[in-house]
Amino acid sequence: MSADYDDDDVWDEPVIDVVTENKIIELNITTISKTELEQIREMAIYASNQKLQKLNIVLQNMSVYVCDDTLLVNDKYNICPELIKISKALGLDIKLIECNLKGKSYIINDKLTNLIKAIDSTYNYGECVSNIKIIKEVKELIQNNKFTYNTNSSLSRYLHEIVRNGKLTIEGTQKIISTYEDGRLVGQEKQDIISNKDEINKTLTKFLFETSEVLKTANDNLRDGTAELLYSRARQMGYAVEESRNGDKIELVLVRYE
Amino acid sequence: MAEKKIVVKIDSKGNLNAETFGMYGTECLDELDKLLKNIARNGKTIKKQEFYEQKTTLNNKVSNKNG
Repeated sequence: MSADYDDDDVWDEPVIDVVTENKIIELNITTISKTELEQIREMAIYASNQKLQKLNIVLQNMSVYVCDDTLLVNDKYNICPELIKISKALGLDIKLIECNLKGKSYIINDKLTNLIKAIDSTYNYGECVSNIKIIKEVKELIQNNKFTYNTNSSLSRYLHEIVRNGKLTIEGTQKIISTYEDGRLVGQEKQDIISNKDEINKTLTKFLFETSEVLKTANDNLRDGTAELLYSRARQMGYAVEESRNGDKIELVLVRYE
Repeated sequence: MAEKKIVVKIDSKGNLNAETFGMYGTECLDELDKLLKNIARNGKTIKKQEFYEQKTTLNNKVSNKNG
């Protein structure tokens, strides 16, 4: 007895399909929390306002305009010739400008504003010392003469999102290669997730480091500004003043003879 | 001429310590008040011995008895 087999009865080769997909994965960045950012903002605003309160001691009887986070101080009668020295000691940027306003006019900015705005774009600098309504001429003077600081728009975007949503979420892609044999999944390879998470972490870590340096400098500025104000007042009171520094402390010796 | 001295120390946090020398009675408080007004908020005041001393002044009065 013999049997003949047709070709149709031989087992077929299995059908292998390889499917590659790029899957979108959500990644959370946890380098900085919303609470940390809010604390940084509060400290920076406090330091900035402290500086303005100290500066305000000598801004009496001057016109102080504010626009675009910038002060324009018009000292009509040259009441405070030491304004530049005091402002610089407080860590503020200041310059004398030429304009049609009577007396001397100065533009003042604070780098701290850059830090605050990176976290909170609604913050307005200088409102606590402004004592006169802005006019068009002064607005133009401010816009043409203000100090400009480098801003990292990506950083601001990340920080604003953390403050708004409590976290920063980005998208990454992951290549998944699936192998099917006759429709059955027989193997799968998941490759590394590709994203800019490392770059963002680096940016945020750098921001944290720079912020702690900026806030420490702000404390030093408040100390130096206080010393400069006392120096100026002591001289007005008729004292000879000698200043000395010991580490991070300042000593002023005021002497007068009667 | 009498020397009047004030020594002011400012620490890293902006805290002030001010001490007067050669000032008697309330003079020291008046001087410190003028110096620190609006620059420093009131804190603790320690009165030294000089605060309780009155400065001695000599009034020389010359009178002409002969017409």
